[in-house]
Order: sequence, then structure tokens, then C-alpha cells
Amino acid sequence: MIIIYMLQILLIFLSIYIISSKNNLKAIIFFSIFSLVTASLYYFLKAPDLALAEVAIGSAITPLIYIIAISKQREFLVVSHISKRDSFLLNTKDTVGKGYKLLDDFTKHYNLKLVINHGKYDELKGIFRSRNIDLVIEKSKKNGRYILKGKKTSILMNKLAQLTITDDDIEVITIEEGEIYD
Amino acid sequence: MKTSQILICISRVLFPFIVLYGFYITINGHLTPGGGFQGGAILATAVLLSYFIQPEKIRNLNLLIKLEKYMFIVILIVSSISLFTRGEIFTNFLPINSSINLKSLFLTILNLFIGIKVSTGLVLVFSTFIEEGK
Repeated sequence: MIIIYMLQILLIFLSIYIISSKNNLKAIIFFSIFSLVTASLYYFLKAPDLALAEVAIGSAITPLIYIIAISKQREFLVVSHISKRDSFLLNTKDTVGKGYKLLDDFTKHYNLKLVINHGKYDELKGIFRSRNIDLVIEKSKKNGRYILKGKKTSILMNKLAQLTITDDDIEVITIEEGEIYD
Repeated sequence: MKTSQILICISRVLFPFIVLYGFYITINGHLTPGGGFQGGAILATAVLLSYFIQPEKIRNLNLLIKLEKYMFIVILIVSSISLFTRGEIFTNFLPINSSINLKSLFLTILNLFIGIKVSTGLVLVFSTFIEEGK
């Protein structure tokens, strides 16, 4: 009987910690511990069926889904239509391209992870819907300037436009939601 | 997501035991606590571990979706066999005066199919989540 009371008190403290924690990953790990304690409570209250389901779902599958969602949230996806040999987006030991340096500094400032994808827009589809692309890079055929296309609603695009306003090579275009990128 | 070598090694050791435990709970569902749903959830956790071992393992999601749909039909068919053998629907298809061990075959088959359906469903949920933004 004492064990049940102690576990219940532990649950209260755990839930307070989960709500008040600022770090997302920590909150998820403590959520997993929370469901483990709940499962042992079910066992002591003579419901082993529920305890088995709670261990499998509550402490393994749900936290994994949360973790994937968090790691997806912190990505800045860039699709480049310029050729791979172009020095604009090059990132090797010897040379770091101008555009790569700009985007790298930009994403580091906002604590995001930069993902650059060479290839076509059509190949980047998720299972149920098309992927949310943050930025498309193209090279203009008329004057050789690099064009960065992004959504008009994104606040990040405004900041990027302000950053590159003095640069002659780079042009930032914002597009309304729902329009096609190409 | 970069996974550490220790996690991969421990996952390789644990994987067969989790699969074994999941099948044990599923098949012994009519005698011990657990059953199709719980065993299926444990089997899904085993597949989750296989994502740590080899991230590119599961490619063909359409096959899993088909398997889940077919399982639903199979469960309905198994539960309505009794309409032809005993004249009642949704009950045991074996005659009522046969031995208890024989009669538990019905529950075992049904639990096994429910376990497969639940595990494929849960695997689909988190593999769509993983594949979504690759």
C-alpha cells in the first residue's frame, strides 16, 4: 500500500516537472518516465493488461514520435537548381562558397539546421503531402544573378532580404502561399 | 539523427528477445494477461529498434498498408466461420462439446491476427513520421 502512495506522489512531481521544463527533449524523456511509473501503478492496482499496453505505447512509441517531430521542426530546407560545380553553394575544405556562408550564418543565428538538397522539386515529396520547402535557389539566365525564392508569410524571408540588400549578386523574391515555385 | 554505437549494439542484442516476448504475449493471450493488442504494440517496439540498427531497412510502406487492410478482412472471415459450422455468427467455430485445448485454437488464431494488424498499424504510424521529411 505504501508503494502505491509513493508512486502517486512521484507522478505528481513528474507531471509538474514536465509542464514547467523549458527543454523539449528533457520533457519528452520525463514523459517516458511518467508512463513507466503509471504502468507500475497499473500493475499494483491489479490491471496487468493495461500495464503491458502502457509500457509499449506510452514509454516507447509516443516519445519517439515526439522526438521525430522536434528534430523535423529545426530544419531549414533549401533546394538548389544551380549546378553542383557552381562555387556559390560549394562547401569543401579549401573553398567555402559565398551563398553557403550566408545561409550557414543565417541558420546558425536562428538555431536551425541547414539542409541543402540538389535536385528537382518533385522528388522531395513526403508520403501524404508535398514537403514544406523554405528556400529555392536559382540562377538567372539574363544577368547571372542568384535568385532566392521563399514564402511571403515567413518572417525569416524578410530578415534574409534585409541581409542581402547591399549585395549585387543576390536577389530575394517572396511568393504568395499556394503559388508554384517554378 | 546520429545514433551512438552503444545504442546500436544493445539494440542488436535486445531485438530477438523483444520479438519473442511479443509473440509469447500474443499467442498466450487467452491464458495470461495481454493479448493481441498488447503483443502487437510490443512487436511494433521491436521494429522501432530496428530503425536504430539499420535506418534504411523499411522501404516498401505500400506492402504494409496492404497487409493491414487484408488483416481486417481475415479477422472478419475467421470470426464468421462459425456461421457455417454452428449456425451462429461471431462465436467459436468448433463444436461446444470438444475439448478445451482444441477450443482455445479459435482465440489463439484471432489474437495472432489482431497482433499482426496492431503492429503493422503502429509501424505505419511512426514510419510515415520518419519518412515524411527525408
